[in-house]
Amino acid sequence: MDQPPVLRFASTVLTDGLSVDLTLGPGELILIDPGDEEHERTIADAACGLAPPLQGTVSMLGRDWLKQQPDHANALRGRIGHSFRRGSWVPYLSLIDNILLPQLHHTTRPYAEIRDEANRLSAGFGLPGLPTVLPGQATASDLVRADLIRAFTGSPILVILEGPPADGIGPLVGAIRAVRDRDGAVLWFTLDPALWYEPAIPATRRYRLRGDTLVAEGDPR
Amino acid sequence: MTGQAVKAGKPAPLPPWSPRWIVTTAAVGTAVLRQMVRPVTWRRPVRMEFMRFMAISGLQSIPAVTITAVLAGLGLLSQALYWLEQVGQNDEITQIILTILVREVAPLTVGLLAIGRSGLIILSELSRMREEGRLRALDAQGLDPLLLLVLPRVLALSLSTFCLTILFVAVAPLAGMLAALALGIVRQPVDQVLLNILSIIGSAGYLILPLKSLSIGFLIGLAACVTALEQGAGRDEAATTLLPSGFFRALLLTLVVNGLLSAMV
Repeated sequence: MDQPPVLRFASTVLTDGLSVDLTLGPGELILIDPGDEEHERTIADAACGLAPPLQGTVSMLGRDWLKQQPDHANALRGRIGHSFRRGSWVPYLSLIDNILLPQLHHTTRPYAEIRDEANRLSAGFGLPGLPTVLPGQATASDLVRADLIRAFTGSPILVILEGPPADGIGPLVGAIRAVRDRDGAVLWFTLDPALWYEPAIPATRRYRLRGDTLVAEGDPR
Repeated sequence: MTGQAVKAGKPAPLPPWSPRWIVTTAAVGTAVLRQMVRPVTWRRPVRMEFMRFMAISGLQSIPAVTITAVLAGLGLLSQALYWLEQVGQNDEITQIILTILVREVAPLTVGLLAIGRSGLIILSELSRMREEGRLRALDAQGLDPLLLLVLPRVLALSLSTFCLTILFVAVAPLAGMLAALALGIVRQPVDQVLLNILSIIGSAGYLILPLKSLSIGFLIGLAACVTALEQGAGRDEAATTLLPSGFFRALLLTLVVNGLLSAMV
C-alpha cells in the first residue's frame, strides 16, 4: 500500500495571501527560501496545523489538520520535530528539561531512555553532554545545538527547521539522513541564499518565493 | 484575547475588567475544571509543573503565612482583651473573634498573600513567555499551554491556598492562646483551650473554610493566568499595566467570592 505524503499543501492560500502547493513525501527534504521571517512563520504554522489556510487544505500523513480534534491534532504535532529561529525555550526549565519536554508529554517512554537518545544526538551535534543550565545561562551556540537536539529527539516523522545556521551543516545533514532513512521528511527554511544553493544539502526539491507564490526551482511559472 | 492597540512607547492600559475578560476567565475556568478530571491531562510535564508550583505557592509561602498568623493571633488577643474590658462576656467575645478569624480573616489574609506572591509570579512568568513568542513554540510541539501552564498553576494555587489557610487557622489561635497563657490571662490547661477553639469553629466554619480557600486560590490563579496571556501591549506592559491589572482583578475576584460564600453559608 502506498504511504500517504508526510505533508501536503493542496492548492493552499495562507493567511498572509501566500500561495503554496507542495507535497513532501516520505524520505524527502525540501529546502524553502520564504523571503522573510513572517512568511516562514506562516508556512511553518500552517504545516503543523496552527494556522488554517484561507483556501485549500494542509494535511499531515493524509489527515487534514482542520478535521482533527484538538487532542488528535496535538498528538500529531507530537510527531513533528521543530527547531525554532529563536530557540523558544521555557525560561524556568533547564535546557535538558526543555529538550525532553515534548517526548515526556507525548509518549510513555522512560525518562532515562529519552535522555540517552538525546545524549547520543548531543554527541553528534558536538556537545559533550546535555546542557543542564537554564536557557538564559547558555551560550548562543549551545542554544542552537540544543534546539536541533530537541527537534531530532523521538524519531519524528516530520522535521521542520526554521533557519538553522549555516555553520553546523555536517552534523545536521547527518541527522536529516537518519530521518529520511526511516521514511521521515524534512522541511528546511532558510533566508540565506548561499545555503539555499548549497550543493552539500541533498534536497529533493528547492522552493523560493516568487511574488506571492512559493515556486519550485526549475518551475517555469 | 483582547486586542489592544499599542501606541509608540506607551503601553496601552489593560482595563481592570471588561465583559470580554469576564467571559474569557469563565471559559478558561470551565476548561480547567473539565480537563482536571481527565486522567490523560496529567502527563509527566503537567505533574512536574504542578509539583513545581506547589513548592512555589505552598512550601515557600509557609514562613510568610506563619508570621502573619502569629501577628494576627496577637492582634486577636488584644481585641479579645479590649472587648472583655468593654463588655465583660468572655465566652461570647471569644466565639465571635474565632468565628471571624476562621470565616473571614484567614481565607482573606492567605488570599492576599497568594496574590502578592504566587499571583505576581504567574503574571511575570506567563506574560514574559507570551511576549517572547514561546507559546507558539509550545503549540507547535503539541504542548497545549492550557494544560502545561494554566491548569497546574491554577490547581496548585488552589490547593496550596487551602493548606496555608489551615496552617493560618491553626497558628493564629495558638499564638494568641500562648500569649494569653504567658500573660496569665487564661488559666485553663492548653488542651482544654484547644478543644474549646475547635468546638467554637462549628460545622459551618469547617464547611466554609475549604470552600472559600479552594475557590479563592482557584480564582487568583485564573485571574493571573488569563491576564498574563491576554494579547495586550508590548514588553513594557508587565511592569506598568499588567501587574497592577492582574493584582486588581485577582483582589476583586477574591473579595467577590469571599462575600458571596459568607452570605451563602
